Amino acid sequence: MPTKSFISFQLDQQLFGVDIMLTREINRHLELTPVPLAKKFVRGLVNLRGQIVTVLDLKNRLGLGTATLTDVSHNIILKTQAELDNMPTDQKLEEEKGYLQDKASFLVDEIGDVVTVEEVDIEPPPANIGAIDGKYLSGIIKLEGQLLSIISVSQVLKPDEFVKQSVA
Amino acid sequence: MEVVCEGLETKIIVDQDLIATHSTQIHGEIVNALKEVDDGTVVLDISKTEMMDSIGIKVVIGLMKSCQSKGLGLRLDVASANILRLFKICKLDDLLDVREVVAHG
Amino acid sequence: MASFNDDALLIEFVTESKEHLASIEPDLLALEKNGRSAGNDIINSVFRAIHSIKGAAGFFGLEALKSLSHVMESVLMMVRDGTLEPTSEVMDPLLVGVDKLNLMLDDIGASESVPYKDEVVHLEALMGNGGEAIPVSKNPQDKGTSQFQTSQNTFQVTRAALESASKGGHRLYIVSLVAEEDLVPQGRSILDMHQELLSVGMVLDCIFCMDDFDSLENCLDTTLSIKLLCSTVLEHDLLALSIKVDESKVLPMTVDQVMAQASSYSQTKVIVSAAEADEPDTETQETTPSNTISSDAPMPVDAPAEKTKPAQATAVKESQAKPGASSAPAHDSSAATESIRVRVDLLNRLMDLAGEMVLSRNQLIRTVDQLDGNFTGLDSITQNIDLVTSDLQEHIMQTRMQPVGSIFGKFPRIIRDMSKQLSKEIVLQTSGEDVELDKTILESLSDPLTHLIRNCCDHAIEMPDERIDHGKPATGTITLKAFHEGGQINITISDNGRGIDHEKVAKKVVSQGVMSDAEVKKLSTQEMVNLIFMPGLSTAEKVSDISGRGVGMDVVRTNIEKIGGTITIDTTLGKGTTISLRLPLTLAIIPSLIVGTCENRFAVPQVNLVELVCVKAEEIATKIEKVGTAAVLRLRGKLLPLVRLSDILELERNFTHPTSGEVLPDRRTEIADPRIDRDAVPPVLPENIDNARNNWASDYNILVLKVGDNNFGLIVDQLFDMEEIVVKPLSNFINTCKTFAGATIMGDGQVAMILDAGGILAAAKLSFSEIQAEENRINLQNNDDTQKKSQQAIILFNNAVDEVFALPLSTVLRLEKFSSQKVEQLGNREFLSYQNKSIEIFRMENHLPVRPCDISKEELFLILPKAFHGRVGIVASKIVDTLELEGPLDTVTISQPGISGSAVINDHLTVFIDPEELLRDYVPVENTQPQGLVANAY
Repeated sequence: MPTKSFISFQLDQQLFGVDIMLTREINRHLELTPVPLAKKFVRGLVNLRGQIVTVLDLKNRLGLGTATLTDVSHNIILKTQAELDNMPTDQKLEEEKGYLQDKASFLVDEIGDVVTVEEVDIEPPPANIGAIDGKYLSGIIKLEGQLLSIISVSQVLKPDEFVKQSVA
Repeated sequence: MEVVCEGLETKIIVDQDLIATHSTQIHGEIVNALKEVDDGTVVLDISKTEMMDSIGIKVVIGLMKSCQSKGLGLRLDVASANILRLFKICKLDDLLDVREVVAHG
Repeated sequence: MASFNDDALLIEFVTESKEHLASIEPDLLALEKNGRSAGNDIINSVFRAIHSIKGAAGFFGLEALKSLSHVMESVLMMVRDGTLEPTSEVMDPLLVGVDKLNLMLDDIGASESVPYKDEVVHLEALMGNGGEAIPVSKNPQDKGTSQFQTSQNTFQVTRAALESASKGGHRLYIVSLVAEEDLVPQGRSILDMHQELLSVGMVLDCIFCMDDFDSLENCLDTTLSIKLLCSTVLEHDLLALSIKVDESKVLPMTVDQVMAQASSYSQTKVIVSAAEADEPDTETQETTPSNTISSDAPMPVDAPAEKTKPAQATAVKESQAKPGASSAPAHDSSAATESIRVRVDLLNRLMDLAGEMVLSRNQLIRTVDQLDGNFTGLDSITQNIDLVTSDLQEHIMQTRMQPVGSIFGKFPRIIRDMSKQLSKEIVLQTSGEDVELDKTILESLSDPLTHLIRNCCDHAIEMPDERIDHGKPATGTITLKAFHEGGQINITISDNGRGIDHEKVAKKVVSQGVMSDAEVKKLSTQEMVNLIFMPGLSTAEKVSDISGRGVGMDVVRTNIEKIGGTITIDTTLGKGTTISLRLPLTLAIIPSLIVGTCENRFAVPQVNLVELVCVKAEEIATKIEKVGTAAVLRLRGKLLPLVRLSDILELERNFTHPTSGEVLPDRRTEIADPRIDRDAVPPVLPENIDNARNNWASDYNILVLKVGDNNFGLIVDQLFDMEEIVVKPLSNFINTCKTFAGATIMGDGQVAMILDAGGILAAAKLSFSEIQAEENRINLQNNDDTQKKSQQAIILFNNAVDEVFALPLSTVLRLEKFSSQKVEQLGNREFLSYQNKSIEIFRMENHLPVRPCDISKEELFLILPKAFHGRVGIVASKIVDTLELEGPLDTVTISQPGISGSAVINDHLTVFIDPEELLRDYVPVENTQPQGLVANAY
């Protein structure tokens, strides 16, 4: 049975997951440099070994308020399109092409375990889960006593202006 | 000077030093000899030649060019160590088929 | 025949053919200029290049390319064989052919549809009677030829051999001899010469110039040239002496120069075999795996899974530089450099890593310093890492550098074509081709430079007759120079043409309604000249085919400034113009000032920074005023609009909300949102600034930034150090924000945003016209109202011993000391020669009711007012002092044209001179020349 693995994490006490094939590495949150005038979704920039990574506030994007930086905050650094292209092609990815050109990461409240499930156990997302619009999710997994919502990375990254339009 | 035809090889045997003093004469003779050749390989046998100065070099280069334009092959038979050294220094031996032969008597 | 599906191969072919064509053009021009004396090497290299194109085009079945290059090859063959002289008439169609080939290569898919019959007809006409006599058509791929074509035109040495031969004080020379001149008369043989050289050094190679020979028949009449490449410890002249040849026959060489002339044997072979082959040979096939990917695509980065596809040797045109091309004597073609192609993104990644390494090194050094206890050898290891890291970074930087020669190279052709078209005689001189610039800068420099060169040809250089009438040589000269200065690259374009007529420029500006007559009148000559940078201005009266379409200098300036450069014009009417470009060495690393506001740090590129002004907290009320909606600072008589960085970036200033205490960064936008309407709440109001002063007991740090012609002040909270920063582009998530030019990682590892001065200015929506109008109004008022209130720096001086005069320092260009004996008389005028220029001496006593100068003094001073550009100076017997004067002038006691008023300074009545008014009637000698010189340049 084909399986899929997800990195699980917490946002606002809810459990979420990102396809492990889309992630590059996980970091404790590094020193953030805020970007004035940017959308709130853009939390700032960090220096990841000489490369600048744009840190995105996933919580904000999902309409759950604003992430607070704590000791257990983590950055899930995503693979760029170019990195995905270099992966073995037999890996089936649900994400569309061309979704991420630059290095970016999701800022999350707390990181959890890697969850591996059989593909058939992934259910389509409902129209919404609590306050979260279902379009940002690609599926849900029912775990023991918990629901894991799978983030649709490409939907979340859909480029509706990240920088404020110049003040009208 | 002597011209010997051996199959496809036309051998021009020079029996003098290839230096300024004899140059005009030898040059003329080689020119005439070359007129007779239409294909195959020209062999300039200078195994009896002990010395070659810049005039001699010019004759060799000239011969090379003419053979080239006539589509002829060219070979040099050389015995003199001095001439061989000269060819080596100027790398003419890279461009030409230069053969070291034992001097004729 | 290959199909078009072989895309990678085809792209490779296009790239290579373009490179060939790029090398052909200068060679053709050299041939045209120097004729046969340009040397056989050049002819051969052109020939080989065209031949390669023809061969490959045939392989790809590109008939148009093949046919055209075939005819060109045939013509070149005749040139090579001496049947055709390389005259202008021959070169014309060849150059046009090169252009056509370029055009075909630009869109290789459509190359078949490019018409080329005209070119072929022209070329065939050259071959004239019986083009069939051309050897090439007889049997171009004669098997025998390749054997001879590898003939010795170039040295065959390796760089390693050269380097080892030039070690230990050995120098490299090329001894070029002609047997008939240098050997035969002395009764020496080649072997003798070789022996003589061996006795003083080493002979690395020896070649004959075989291309001079054509046949056995003519060989005795052909001179035999020999070139010996040798190394010796002897000086140039001593070597010549010891081998008894003329000094001119001995050329000192560097390894690079020799390499430029040399070809390693295998390379020669490759060229020949690739060229000769109608079938793809092994060499071509070897390059086929190259997989062209967009170099824009981000590189996969240091992930463990990273596997770069092998041999993605993309067709990147970087490596074709011709090092030291100009300095090599005689033939600078056939450059066989040891280079490989590398993807640009790979280089960029290397640069990132090197930067990262520098940071790690810094951390290491700090940690080692703090270590207690003794670790034997640790210091030297750290030191070594320190050195190696710096070296590494520097060298990686260098990989992006390319010589400016690569763009200078196209100008001879432009000049040639333009001078023909315009019937002018123009020569181009270039120097500093080997000066290197970052490739990004170089690429964006090409267009502006071309424009400037075209301008020179079109407008600056006069027609030959006109030049002769003005006593100039009929041939105009354009000089293109590149050189290093103060960590920057300077490129100057000078011409000895007619110069720019500032009055004509000014008239044009007025007639186009851009400025009023009165406004223009106030400008200095230089300012009038600079008006040519105004958008849409062209002073060329006739719209020529070449330039002068009304777009021009403003675009040039914008482009130069975009790459962090500056452009200045220095022109003398009738003599010529020099345009100087100052450019940064690299865009990737820029010196920047780190500033802080609201706990954020930002980098401000130094190129935008004019100066730093600090306004003391207690002076804010008096120095900062309001014009319209903008706050302005009065700075040296000019009004400088101010904007606060925190306003532009909508950062909340913590002192404005003292009740809310520490404002969290994530709340900022919410709080700032209500302030969206900027017009309703102007960003910087004097009142705000007053508040700020009360709440925030600090001075104002103002960065004066320059964007185009406009200066503005940016208020920041803190100033930190200058840092050399590496510019990194903004990610897609934020790159629409024009306030930032990029981001960078600072020395401490933190990320900082780089501010974009232009973007800030745009966001601030400053109305410069309003401020300009206000400034003009104030200035006018000051002129009318002689009560000068503002503080100004003045210079005090004597003419007669006890009379004190004063001049505003701002009107003074410079002071010169001179000896009264050096004064020369011309009629009733006096002059002083200074650095080949004459300065007219102006004595106040001749124009004002003052006592004459103290004639007992040997040493006198000349005060040169700015208004006359150092052509005239006011005599002073002594410079007393410079000081700041406050308060109004007394305009009643002494009133007279040329005198702006008086004041009592240090108990002396001091007369204030108004130099412009005083010298109003002064006519500089140069300007009395006939008006025929009037230019309409640019």
